[in-house]
Amino acid sequence: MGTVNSMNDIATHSVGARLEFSNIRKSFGNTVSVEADNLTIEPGSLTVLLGRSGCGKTTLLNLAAGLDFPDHGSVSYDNQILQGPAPATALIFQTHNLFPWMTAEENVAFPLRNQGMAKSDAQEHARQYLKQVGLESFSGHKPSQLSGGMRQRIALARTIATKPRLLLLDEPFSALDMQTRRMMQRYLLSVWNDSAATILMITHDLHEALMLADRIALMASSPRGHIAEIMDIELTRPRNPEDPAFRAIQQQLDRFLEHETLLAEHDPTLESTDQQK
Amino acid sequence: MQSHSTDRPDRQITLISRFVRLILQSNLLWFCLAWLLIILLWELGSYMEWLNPQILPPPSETIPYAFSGNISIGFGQQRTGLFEATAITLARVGIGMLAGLLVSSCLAVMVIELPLLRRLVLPIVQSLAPIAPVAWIPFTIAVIGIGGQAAVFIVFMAVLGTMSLSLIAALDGIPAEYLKIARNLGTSRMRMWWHVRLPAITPGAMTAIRMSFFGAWMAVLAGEMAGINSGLGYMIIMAQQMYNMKLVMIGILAIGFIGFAIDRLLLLANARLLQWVQ
Ligand SMILES: Nc1ncnc2c1ncn2[C@@H]1O[C@H](COP(=O)(O)OP(=O)(O)O)[C@@H](O)[C@H]1O
Ligand SMILES: [Mg+2]
Repeated sequence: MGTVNSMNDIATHSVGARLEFSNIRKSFGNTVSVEADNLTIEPGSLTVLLGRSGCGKTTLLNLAAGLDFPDHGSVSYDNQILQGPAPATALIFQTHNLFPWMTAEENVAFPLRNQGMAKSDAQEHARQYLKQVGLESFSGHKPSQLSGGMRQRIALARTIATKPRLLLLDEPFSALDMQTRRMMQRYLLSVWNDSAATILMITHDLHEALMLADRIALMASSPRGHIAEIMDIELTRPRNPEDPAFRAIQQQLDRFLEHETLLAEHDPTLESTDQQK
Repeated sequence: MQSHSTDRPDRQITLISRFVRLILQSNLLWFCLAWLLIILLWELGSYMEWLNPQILPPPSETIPYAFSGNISIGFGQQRTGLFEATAITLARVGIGMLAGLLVSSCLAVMVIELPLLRRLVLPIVQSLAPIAPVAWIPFTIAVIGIGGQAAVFIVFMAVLGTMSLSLIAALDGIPAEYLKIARNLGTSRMRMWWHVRLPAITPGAMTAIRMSFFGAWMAVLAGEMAGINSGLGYMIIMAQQMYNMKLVMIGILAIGFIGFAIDRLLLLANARLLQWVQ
């Protein structure tokens, strides 16, 4: 048989990673930017970090990826403290996921080439993964010739090509229109179902969080970024926004976020800054 | 709809007018027209004796002279021809810029790979960059002399500072996402440079090369006029000293034309290399 022919073949036979933040404190300059006392992310779960911009979500994600390190406390990956880039971990951001100088196919083949796969094999695999996201006919296109939704689908295809045990997503669908965003959410859920990967995702969209999450870590920015509450979302899947239980949780979370915004409005030091770097 | 309509006169007229509009929009046409106008005015100026033909010979003499094929000036060892002089000057610019690109690339790689070195190298480069390229001429002639190496060195110094700064700035400006993603995709150090950083900075690097070409072109010609004993600048000075004003004019036009042509070529190369830029 061929190489990768069905979605089942994506499934990593290893289990998802277990992630644990303990007593984290991370500062930039003199001010503490974010704290996370205790957050455990179980293998194969889908956890969402929800909070307004500037509360330290991206900072926590960088720590989880092993691309940055806390000033205090530690992040453990499968019970080992991270001291470099997290193994078998894939990242997807809001933008700049695909290298614009490579075609769709080259982008997906890139991590396979990193692993030493022969060029023709990598291309063959890349085409198969593009097929799984329905974009095989765009394999020769450059990202600038594709829509935002297509680019994110290709980023997802590249991600599954590496068979990650941990998937870190930083507002991956925020730049997309409503319909495309819903479609991408379904894509993500199907990828998650077919693999055993652990997913940690950032969003500021409450609806998105409720559609996807097993667990929501609510973040607040006052007096400094921290995890205010951790909620297990025990809604059945597939989720239906019309479901009264869905609505009830939505309202509850809405009130929390409203309260958080009011607090921030009265704190002049918390001008929302959504800068990347 | 298809075959008959082309015969209709109004359709033909729109075709012709579209063709005319296309030609009018062509940059080449306007470029040629502008030069034709300059040459006509110049000829007219000489004919009406507004211009002294001894100092500014008319195009009707200058142009045939330019294409006569055996333009040269000086005697014996000092003898130099237009094409030979141009080739020498271009070779100097090419070698000097290549050396500058090579050294500034090495500097940029070291600055990125060794953060400690950044603190040492950056101030040096930052103080070199604002020095006007021509300012290196007296120093170079005093130290290296008036030969070809001196000209290459002037070009090298003219481009080193700005090229290094542009390359470092371009590397620092790569969106953090690309580097983070590449690192988590298991990219080795070599592949990171070759497949991520290099293509990411190509737009910035190409602009830097184009910009520094101007500096290099000015500096090498000024050097050749100020003492270096061959090349296009030297030929112009020789022609002036021997009162061959036709050759002086031809030299000046050659400087402009070649500079323009190379800039356009670099622009074209840019466009071909950078089709991926949004
Ligand atoms: N590299 C950095 N240098 C300085 N301050 C930073 C840096 N990264 C983040 N911050 C600050 O830390 C806080 C949290 O930022 P971030 O994690 O990006 O928030 P979020 O992703 O929730 O919008 C912000 O106040 C931001 O200004
Ligand atoms: Mg962020």
